Amino acid sequence: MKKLVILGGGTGGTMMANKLRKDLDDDWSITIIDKDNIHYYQPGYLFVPFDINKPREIRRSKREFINPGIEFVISDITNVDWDKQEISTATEGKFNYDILVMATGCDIRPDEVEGLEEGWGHDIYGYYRFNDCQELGKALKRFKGGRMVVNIAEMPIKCPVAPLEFAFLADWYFHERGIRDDVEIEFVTPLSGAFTKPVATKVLTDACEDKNIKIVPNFALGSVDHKAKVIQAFDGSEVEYDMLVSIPPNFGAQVMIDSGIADPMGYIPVDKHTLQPEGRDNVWVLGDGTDVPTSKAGAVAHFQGDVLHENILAYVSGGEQHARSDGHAV
Amino acid sequence: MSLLKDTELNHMAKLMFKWAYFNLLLKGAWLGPPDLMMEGKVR
Repeated sequence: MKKLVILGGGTGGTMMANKLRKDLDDDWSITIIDKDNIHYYQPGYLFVPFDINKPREIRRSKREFINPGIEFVISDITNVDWDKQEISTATEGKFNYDILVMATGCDIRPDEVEGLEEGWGHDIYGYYRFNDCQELGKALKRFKGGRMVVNIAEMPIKCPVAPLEFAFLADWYFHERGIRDDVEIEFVTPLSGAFTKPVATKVLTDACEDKNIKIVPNFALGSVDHKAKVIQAFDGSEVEYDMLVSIPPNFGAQVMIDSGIADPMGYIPVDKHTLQPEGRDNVWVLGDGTDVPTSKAGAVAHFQGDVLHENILAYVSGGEQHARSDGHAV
Repeated sequence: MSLLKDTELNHMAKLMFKWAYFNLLLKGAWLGPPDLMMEGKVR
């Protein structure tokens, strides 16, 4: 029996397992390894604070979406050894593989900004985790007025347009509550404008002006003082807030750093077209955990999945691998 | 239609995407034509 192992049972890993199970022969086993059995619908995190999505609607079982014929192992991954073709886990032993697909994603790291983690929950909130988006919803209900600052600490982040969407939803929400005139909304970003691409930036800048959302560009966050309620940039500039909605730095999985296969931010270096690490012809990486300069979004993982599906089947059959990722999201 | 415009349709489509995510995308279903990858990219 030949073994295909997938690390991560989120969007990318589940999708790849189900795609490949349909097309690989029964002499291939497919195993997904992940730390838990909870699948979060991450786009819903943005809507929970505004009661548009309920928390129960965005949390499901991972196993529910994994097709028959795929083994699902729940355990923390403790080491990835490409030379030995071996995965170590905390509680389920070691797994050897013939093909490895890595889809372990990324996560926020408030601890990477001085003062941010200490202030978390003290007028500082976020929406990139299940509990955080619920706490933010409670804080929004309590908010009577003042300056709300939506701040991106640094790029890359998951779903780069989500912070602007949050600001727009906040504008709508405070209008609905009849307190919009009592709330200043500031969008403080390390980018030179509202977004990364010029066409989108123009449209979104106009939208911010229409909604009276102030954009503060080129703000490279250095530290947060939650007692003084101020964020400070490396160049010394400051922005005061009454409520800070923070998008902290995003890092890949720590185990990839510990295994010596990722860059210092936990992202795995791969060829941006083939999504393979250099010199590893039986390893593919997709989704938020790669270092490719694309949006970190489920849509990107989906299109990367098409590339991996075609090339992995070609690899198995000994054929040419023609598919190339171009990094697009739509 | 612009995907960037602040419209009810865009908002509803985003909310409805949840169904497609759980019922199609995660299951590895085919979601678009094979040439979608270069749609809007090649001039």
